[in-house]
Amino acid sequence: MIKRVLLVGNPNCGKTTLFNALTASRQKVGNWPGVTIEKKAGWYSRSGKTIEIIDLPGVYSLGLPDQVSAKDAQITAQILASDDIDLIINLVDACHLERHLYLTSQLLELGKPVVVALNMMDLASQAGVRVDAQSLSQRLNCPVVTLQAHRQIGLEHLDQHICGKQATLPSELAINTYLPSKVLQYLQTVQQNMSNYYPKCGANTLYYAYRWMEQSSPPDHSSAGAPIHDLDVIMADARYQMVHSWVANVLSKCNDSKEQFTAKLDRILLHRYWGLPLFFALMYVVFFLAIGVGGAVQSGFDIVSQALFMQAPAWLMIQWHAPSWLIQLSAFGVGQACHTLVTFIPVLATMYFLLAFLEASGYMARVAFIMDRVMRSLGLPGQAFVPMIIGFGCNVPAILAARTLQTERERFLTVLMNPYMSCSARLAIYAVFVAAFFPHKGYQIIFSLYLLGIGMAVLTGYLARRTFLSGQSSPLILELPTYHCPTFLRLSKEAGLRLRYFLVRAGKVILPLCLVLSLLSIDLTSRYSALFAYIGQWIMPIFSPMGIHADNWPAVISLMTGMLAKEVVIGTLDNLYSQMTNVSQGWQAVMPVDFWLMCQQAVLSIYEHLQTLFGGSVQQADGAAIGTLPEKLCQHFGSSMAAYAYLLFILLYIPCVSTMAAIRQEATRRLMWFSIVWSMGLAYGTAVLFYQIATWVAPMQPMIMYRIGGGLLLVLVLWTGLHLLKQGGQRALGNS
Amino acid sequence: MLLAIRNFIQVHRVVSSEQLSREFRVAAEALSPMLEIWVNKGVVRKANSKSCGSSCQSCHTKQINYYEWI
Repeated sequence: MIKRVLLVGNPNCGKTTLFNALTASRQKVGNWPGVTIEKKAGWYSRSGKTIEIIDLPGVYSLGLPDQVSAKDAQITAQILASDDIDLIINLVDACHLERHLYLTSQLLELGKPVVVALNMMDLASQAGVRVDAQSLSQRLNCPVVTLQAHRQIGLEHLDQHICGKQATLPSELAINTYLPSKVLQYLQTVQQNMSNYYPKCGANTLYYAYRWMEQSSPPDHSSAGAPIHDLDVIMADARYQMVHSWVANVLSKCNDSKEQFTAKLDRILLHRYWGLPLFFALMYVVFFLAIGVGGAVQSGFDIVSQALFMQAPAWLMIQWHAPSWLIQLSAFGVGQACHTLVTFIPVLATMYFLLAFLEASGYMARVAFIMDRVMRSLGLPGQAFVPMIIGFGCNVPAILAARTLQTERERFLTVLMNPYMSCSARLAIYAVFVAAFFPHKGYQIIFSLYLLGIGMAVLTGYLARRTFLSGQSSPLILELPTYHCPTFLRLSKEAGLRLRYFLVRAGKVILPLCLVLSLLSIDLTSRYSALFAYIGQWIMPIFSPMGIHADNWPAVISLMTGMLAKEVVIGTLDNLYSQMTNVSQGWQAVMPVDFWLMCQQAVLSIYEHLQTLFGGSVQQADGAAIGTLPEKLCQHFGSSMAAYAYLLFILLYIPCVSTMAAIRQEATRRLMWFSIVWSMGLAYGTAVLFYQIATWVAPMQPMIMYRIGGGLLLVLVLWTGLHLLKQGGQRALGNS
Repeated sequence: MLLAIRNFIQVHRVVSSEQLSREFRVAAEALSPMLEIWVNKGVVRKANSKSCGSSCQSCHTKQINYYEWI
């Protein structure tokens, strides 16, 4: 006959709620651990029987009553050790099954009847967790009932056990199968000597032997045999394994398959050696799609937008006999700015969409993790790359994000390295140039520029670390989210938002600049416009070693305006080239615009570019349509080598004004000047070196540039690999 | 389980509780007592994440626990 029932469980699992429901009392309950700090007794009356119900303070695990330090845990351990208990109701939160079953496994060793009450079943099902109570009952060898104590649902099942005649004793658990043989032998010895070690243990020596061996400070009893190192860990490990095997069989989660998928995919994508090459391969695919497909669409946009925003207004103005300054302002001021912005759209939209996919899928966070390994092997902080890799957007927020780094040294390194990462503005410039000079393999060129940017950032950081910013870097702390497939709508929205942000920001700079340039160039005989040509031609000798010829002074002026914001480089180039062309051709050369024909040309251009991209036959000699910016670029730059050298310079030279301000704000004025001088030197050196080598070797073999680039990349990969191996070897030696 | 977790942290140097949770298919709240054992033994150190301070929403607002091998 059951007379006394204990309510035992982890803190905040609903013991007092059940106690109140059973005894109709009004003990204080709360949704936080530790509401009950002493035992409380109440009476449960049903069918003429009165049973004492005792609510105990919540505990996570059991220990020897004398060894437990916390007062509430001591109360629970002492009462559980007493003999006059007829039934233990172990409340288990179904939402946190694994954590709560640890205590259950210890309770089942007490040798007293136990009923497991799975509480909060409603919350578990809301959280997508399903618990198979019957299967759990079979594994625990004790009855399991499901409850919603706060709603008093399921109490009738519990009532059957409380009012039953005699509860059955649970059979022994399988924890010993998880213990090594050495520990099992030790357990047997301890069990035999338990009455000596702990005189209060009574007949249930096994329960006390487990508790005795689980103590964190090892008791000194040489009679049990040679002490085992980390015995408490081995004991806890076996219990956690047993509990985990129960949970794995009885619990199913809605998002379980997703978690498993993430763990499997991470084993491939975060592989120690394959992680980095896989990242490069993935980025190659991204550039192929963004520059290949986006660039094909860009050629169509270029034709249509030029007709719409520049030729049409100019022709209309001429028909209306408008003054030349108005034609300049409308066609080469506003029209030029709109045309430049519109041509950015296809490549940037595709790039933003693909980057949004990589970010939302959870891969971008892992890239930072992969890069961190390389960076740390060079003694550099991985955090420096996180903002740029995740954003691939703008250098300014990346530099501001340096605030999160712990030491001043790491902050300065991050600030120095970030300007070399290709931002959206630079991507817009690359896209226009590759359309002109590399219409078939443009994505490879842009991929090489991105890699070079990363390489230069690492080189800068490495040199700074070896000279004036020496020290050790703290490890990267980054959350790796679960992989999932984002919806098309979400990605489109995200790409749209970024595109809008870029266009507004770029528009604010490009529009005024185009207006100013067109105003100054109203009369080319005026000294203002002659000033441009004069300045350009005066600086020209400095840039001639990197392939900019004397008549290409707009390229030099564009570099100067590009210091304000790199978005304006294309705008300036287009504006100045257009004006040069119109001066030579005269306004009368502006023809009426046939939109239908332009649209047909645009569609044809897109089709031809796509056909070329996917290996089809090339019908057109070259991708650049007559009168478009790519055609003007081809005309003025002359060779693809000069264009690539110019792109290298754009990638590396002085960061834009906003970036400079950010460096000054986050670091020091001196570091800002250092960054300016260093980047200028690096840009000039790289561009000149490339142009000189390329012009020297190119006549021999046109593909040699690719080979040199590939060779350098291979050397870089091998060097990184060797570094990693060396570091791994040192670590392995250190561990052994 | 405890020993496997210790080895995992040793290899990866710094791990988040969610990463461990995924790797061992154990709920985060079930992991915390296991990690506490290693923290108490001085084998790993607990660290909290910080927000970068920008308003771009790229940082998670929720607090994540990280465990670093000592």
